Amino acid sequence: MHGTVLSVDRSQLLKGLLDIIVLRVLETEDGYGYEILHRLRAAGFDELGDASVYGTLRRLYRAGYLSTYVQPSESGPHRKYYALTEPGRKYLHQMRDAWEDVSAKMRALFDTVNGTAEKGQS
Amino acid sequence: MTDTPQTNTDIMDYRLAVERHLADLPAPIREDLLNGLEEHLAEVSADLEPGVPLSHLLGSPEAYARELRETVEVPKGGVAERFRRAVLVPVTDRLKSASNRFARGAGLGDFDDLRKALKPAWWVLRGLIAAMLTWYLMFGTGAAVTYPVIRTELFIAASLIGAVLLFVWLSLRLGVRSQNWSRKYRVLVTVAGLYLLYGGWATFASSFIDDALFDTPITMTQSTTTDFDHAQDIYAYTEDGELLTDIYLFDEDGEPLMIGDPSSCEYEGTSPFAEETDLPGQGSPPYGYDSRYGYLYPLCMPDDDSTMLPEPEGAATSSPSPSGESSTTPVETPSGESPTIPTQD
Repeated sequence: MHGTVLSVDRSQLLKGLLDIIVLRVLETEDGYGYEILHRLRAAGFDELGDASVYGTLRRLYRAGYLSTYVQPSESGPHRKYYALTEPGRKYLHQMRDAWEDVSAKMRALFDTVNGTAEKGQS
Repeated sequence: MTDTPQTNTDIMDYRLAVERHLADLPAPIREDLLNGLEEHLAEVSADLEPGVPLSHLLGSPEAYARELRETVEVPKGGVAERFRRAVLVPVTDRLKSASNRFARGAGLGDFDDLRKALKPAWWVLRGLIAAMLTWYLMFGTGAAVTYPVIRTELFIAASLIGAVLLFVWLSLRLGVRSQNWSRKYRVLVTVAGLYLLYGGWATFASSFIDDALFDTPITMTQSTTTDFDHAQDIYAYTEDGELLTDIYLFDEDGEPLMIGDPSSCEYEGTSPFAEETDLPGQGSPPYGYDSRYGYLYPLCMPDDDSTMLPEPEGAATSSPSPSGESSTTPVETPSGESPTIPTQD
């Protein structure tokens, strides 16, 4: 039960970070939908489902942060590859800056709380 | 994995199921998600072993649609739109979940699977109701009174079977074809079907069951004859034992009571054609029939030597001897109001 709650909480946290996660994965190499999901799983994001990645790709594409092109595949149907556009790279940098800012403040907050708790206990 | 018809069908079914669960999203967003979804599902299915359904890898279409919905930014919209998302969509989702639990509990998979399996049965039922309604409107109401010659049992059976076959076939064809229509037209067809169902229920519950199943003569419009089904004629007497003739009967609503069959009498001398043919008049009501007032009673005059009035038990008066003479003045004048009981001075 406790594990389920943790999993749900992580999933909720990740939903707010889907844009930056997907853009970051595509920053180094173009990819198609299902392959991107595999990359994310390999990076440890096991909670993310195919629909989350596919929906995020479509939303970022609509926003102009991604472009697409189709390539034939030897093992199946043609694949639609996604690539970062210039606005997409700028957006990723902004998101990364924002994340690092929030992350640093969160770390500081947790450190402060731990420090206060430790002082109180001693 | 190569494309097979089974795989393509699986992809199409999965996509359609997801589409149904995204029906509440604004059209541009929904279309964008769905336009590329088929290609994406084909990419995913390439990783599956032959024969393994997509849902094995991706979960149910409902869960997939729910996850997909969480990735889109939906504009807030007006009050109605916000109400729809805040109230209607959650209620609908809960109903869907409850329906799925119900279907799974019976071992039938999701409710959508059950709905798909029941579709042909619904089409047959819809055609059956349309056939019976049409048949009833054509032959089962007073409209057929003027054509008594076609009201034979053979004609009734043949026309009913013909109508059922025709309308069930039409309904099945409509059902199959409408599967490829847009959502708007599919909803229209469903609403029309439900209206038909309501019409069938209202008609057959109130009229058809009474008129057809209980074999009450359809051509008669009297309010009720349940208590007089056995009676073939009416003889009314005064307390002095005098037969009242040329009387109309009405119920408490002023509707004429028509009991018996005026054409079943044998009589002599009343018909203007009786003398010409030297045959007793038969098959025509002796006193005529007015659709506003009903039959004139008695329909058939009793034999002169017969005693029609039963002797009341314990009555102090002597046995009356009804006469066959008829009064020329009607006892009452019919109107929309409740008729008054004739009294003897």
